[in-house]
Amino acid sequence: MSKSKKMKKAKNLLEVYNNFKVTPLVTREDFSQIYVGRPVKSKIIDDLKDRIENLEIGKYEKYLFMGHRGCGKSTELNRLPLILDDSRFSIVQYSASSVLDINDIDVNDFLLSLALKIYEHGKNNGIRFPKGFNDEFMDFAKNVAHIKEKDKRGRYGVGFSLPDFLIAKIHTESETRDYIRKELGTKISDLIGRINKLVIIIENKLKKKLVIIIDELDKLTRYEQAENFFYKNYQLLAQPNCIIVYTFPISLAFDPYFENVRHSFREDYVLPQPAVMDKNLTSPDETGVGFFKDIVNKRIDTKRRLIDEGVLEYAITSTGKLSEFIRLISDSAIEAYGDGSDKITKKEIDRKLDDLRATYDRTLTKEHIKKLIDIHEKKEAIDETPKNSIARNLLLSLTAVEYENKKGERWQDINLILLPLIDKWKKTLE
Amino acid sequence: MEKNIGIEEISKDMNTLSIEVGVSKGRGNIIIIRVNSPYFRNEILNFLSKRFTYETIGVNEGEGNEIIKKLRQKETKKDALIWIMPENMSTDIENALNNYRELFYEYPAPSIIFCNELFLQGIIMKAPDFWRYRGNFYIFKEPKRDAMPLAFESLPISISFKDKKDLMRRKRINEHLLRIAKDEKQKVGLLLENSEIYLIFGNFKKMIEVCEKALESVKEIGDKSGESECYTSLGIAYRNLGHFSKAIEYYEKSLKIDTEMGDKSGESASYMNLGNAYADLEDSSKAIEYYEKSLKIAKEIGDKSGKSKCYGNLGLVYNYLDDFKKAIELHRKALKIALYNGDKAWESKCYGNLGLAYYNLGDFSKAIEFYEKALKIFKDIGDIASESKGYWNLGNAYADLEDFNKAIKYYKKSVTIYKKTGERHNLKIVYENISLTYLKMNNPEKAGEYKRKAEELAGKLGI
Repeated sequence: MSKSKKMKKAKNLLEVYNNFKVTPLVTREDFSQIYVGRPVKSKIIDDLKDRIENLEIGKYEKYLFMGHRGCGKSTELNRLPLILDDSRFSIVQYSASSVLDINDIDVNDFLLSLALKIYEHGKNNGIRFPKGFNDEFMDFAKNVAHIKEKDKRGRYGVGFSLPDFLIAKIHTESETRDYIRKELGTKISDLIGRINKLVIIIENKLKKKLVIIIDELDKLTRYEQAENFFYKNYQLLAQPNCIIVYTFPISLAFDPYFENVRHSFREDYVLPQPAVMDKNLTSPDETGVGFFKDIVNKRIDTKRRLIDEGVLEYAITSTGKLSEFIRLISDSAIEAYGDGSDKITKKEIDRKLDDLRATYDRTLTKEHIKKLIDIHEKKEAIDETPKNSIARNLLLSLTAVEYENKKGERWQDINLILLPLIDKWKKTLE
Repeated sequence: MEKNIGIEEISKDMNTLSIEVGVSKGRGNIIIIRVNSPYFRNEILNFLSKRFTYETIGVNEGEGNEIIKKLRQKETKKDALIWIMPENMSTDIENALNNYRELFYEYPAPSIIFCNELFLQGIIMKAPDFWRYRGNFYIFKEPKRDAMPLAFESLPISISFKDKKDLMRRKRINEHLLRIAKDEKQKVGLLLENSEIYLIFGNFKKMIEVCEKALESVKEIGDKSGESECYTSLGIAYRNLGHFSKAIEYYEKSLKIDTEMGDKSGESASYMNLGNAYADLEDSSKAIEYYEKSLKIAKEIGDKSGKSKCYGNLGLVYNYLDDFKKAIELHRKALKIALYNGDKAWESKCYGNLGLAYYNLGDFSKAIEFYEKALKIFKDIGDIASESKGYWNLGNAYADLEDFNKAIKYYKKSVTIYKKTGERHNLKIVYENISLTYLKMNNPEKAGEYKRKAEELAGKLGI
């Protein structure tokens, strides 16, 4: 994760460009300066915090956390460690791509890396594991990963500790991964047992409950890969005795098989896109629009009037997707600056919207268009059969979006940017 | 020295790009630039090199891991990283972009990603995480250098022939029969058949001459159907000479007669020809409207060949409208029917048109593959009018790939044919393309020579 510098409210267009980035908020400072709480019904992280903090002793729940691209998922997830009571909870947070090759992921290497991350967390918190347990754990890890390298000082690699060295090998070497998968194939319960022991030791010594947050598992973009990882292994993923928040690819949630899987997890949270228009697209949703406006007000010095009057609401209701809106403002700012202007006008917003619209439109086939019209009319994105994946692909490519209003009603519709194309599409299909 | 062609046409966007790179100096950013031709891309890089220092990385399919490795170095003394992406998106690149997008922001310099239309579409559909994470994106269209679509023109008579020799033999026989024929209707038939041969040979003036003779005859004998055929042929000849309004005038006359006579097939053909003329006038919506009218009738009367041609011509309009995927879909539909019907002439044009669509997507290898397939058939069947267009398109593709000598070679082959056929409108455009190519080769003398030739022709054509 990148560290962010202190952000000052933009006083000119170049600063607007710099302040409107799509990267998630990370630090406490980021949150105190520019975070905007989500509209009421979408306060999922607050619900999750309450649930974790009120868990019965001895209960270790697992949660799935998902959301459409660009809806603020990573920012929300980064907020959880900051709001959990740190006198009662110790957080292990990492992104799957930092420990695994996300293009070649398997539950065996995943669980081994989880064990190593927990072990590392204990060490970093000054825990001395009982000698017998420590040696046994190290030998187990070395054996399943076939580690022989060790320098004269008993260190691994160039001064790395064993967990670091092992994670690097899992991350980069397909040979190591193959070996681990072969070895752990018959010893996976043994590994889970060791994870559970690690958790008990750490929790007892720290007198805090461990909460594991694993980001970027939702990045398994190839459907088959995601399906293999989650659907074939959900029971294993639910076994470790600690609280775990798994990010989860939302496309899998639109698969009928999801119904079988969800029960192994305490809750599946979907972070929706706050709606900026009502379901029938007749009038703006004030709560949603207000949320977007607050985001702007936190990043721009409003006294400078860097966005033309009325244009902001127009930009919000023309996009309705958080990341796209952020991009739209940033792109329009640089365009206006290039034109010698000192504020963003409708002209720049329209030009950028046109560019974006045309770019999406060019990628759509007749089948996509048919489905998009269907989604728009029925407010529902469902594929006819499990094998058919058009609706899923449209949600994945953000040409279709799931919205939620302040009452908690949810529906799917096309990306608002594409609305002006509906008539043209209908004509094409005729 | 002639001025640098191209960059000034997008100067506003280049200015914005410069500001964006400038403001991103020292930090990570993702700026995507869609530009199809390597030549134009180099022009843009040349422009950027005067303002910024950068490191260029060419990425090939299968090198996704190299992208990750490079970004993990996190060290550079340059202002920007320039990534030149391959023609097609591969799974490894897709994964690298999608799953390691943060690395682009962690790198201490902005990444400027150059890709073609096809690759851009790959990013949007297959790497949406990366697409969402990007900074600005720019769509730079090359300065317009006319390419040659191969539209189908519907003629009232359709002759089948094996090769050029066959056509010549047919023309000689027709001329002999014309001398001895006594029946006016028969004469008209022969004249119109010859007009089609002139069309295939690209001799449009001769085609007009023959059609006017035929028109006189049909009017005398009151043959309405023949009159409609003559108008169609005249329209086609004028269209090929670049007189589009005159062509429309003739097509409308033909349409009126066909409608009055209830000749559905003729009506469909007239609508298609009108679509062609409006497409030439760049009135896409009117062109689509007419093609669809034609398609509707072709479907009603079960005219498979007509249907195929409507698909092909509609494909060309969508190509013009930059909807290349739709264009490819339509050309493939057209090709399927052409193959089924064993219609070699139309099959070749479908290949040519598919080549053009892939060319516009920036997939030059595929474009050249289709152009060559088309060219082979043009040569086999002696369709020199299309052959010249085939050379022209190959010239464009090689010019964009910066193989200028090959481009000039093909353009000149095209010139030789246009000089023979008298298609001065097209000849003028090819001269302009040659001039542009010489300019890219830093040969201003030759560039000037061909520019003058084009201007002379333009003067004569009154354009």
